[in-house]
Amino acid sequence: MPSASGLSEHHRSVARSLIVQGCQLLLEHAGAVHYSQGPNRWEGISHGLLISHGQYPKHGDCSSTATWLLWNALHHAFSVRDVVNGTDWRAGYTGTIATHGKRVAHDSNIKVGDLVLYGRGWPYEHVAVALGGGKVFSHGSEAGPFKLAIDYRPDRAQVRRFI
Amino acid sequence: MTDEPRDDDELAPDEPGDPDALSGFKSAAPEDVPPDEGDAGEAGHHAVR
Repeated sequence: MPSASGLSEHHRSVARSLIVQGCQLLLEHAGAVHYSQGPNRWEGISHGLLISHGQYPKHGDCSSTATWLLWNALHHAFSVRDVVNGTDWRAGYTGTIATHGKRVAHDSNIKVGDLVLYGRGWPYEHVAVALGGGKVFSHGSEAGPFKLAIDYRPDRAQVRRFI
Repeated sequence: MTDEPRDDDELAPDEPGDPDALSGFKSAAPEDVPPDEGDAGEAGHHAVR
């Protein structure tokens, strides 16, 4: 069974490390990271901001930030096509995230970089990035981003894997 | 949960569940977390760059 990304085990490990580094960057600079649902939410990808260079987007919402993390880990690092939203890494939202990747059925299998969708059915309302240990990285408000318990809100719907 | 193949199990053997990957960062307390503002939605989806 191939992985969701088609990457080898080693490359998946590297990709997940990049996700962790990216979340760390964003949390360390939370005061400079603003919540936006405008076009600038895609600046992380459109400006080519690289985790490996210590760069991070100053604007984003939940889905654009999650997509930027995976763009770094999958596309920039390993030239993986847009397996997250299916838009050639140009756009996306919870509705497209929910129709890509592979569903993780059991909580015990949740891994770093999996995306957690919240809300009552498609297209869902919010997405966060799994960090392991029952925690997620979430950028859902101007006060964020935050590291939170995966069930910090009561409407967790599904978990999907892209790495 | 039943509308798609349970494909995560096949991935599990070589990738055990991860421990807390950001243990150095304190989790936010629930009372400190404002409600999520929601996703930009399909309009945001089409507002490319």
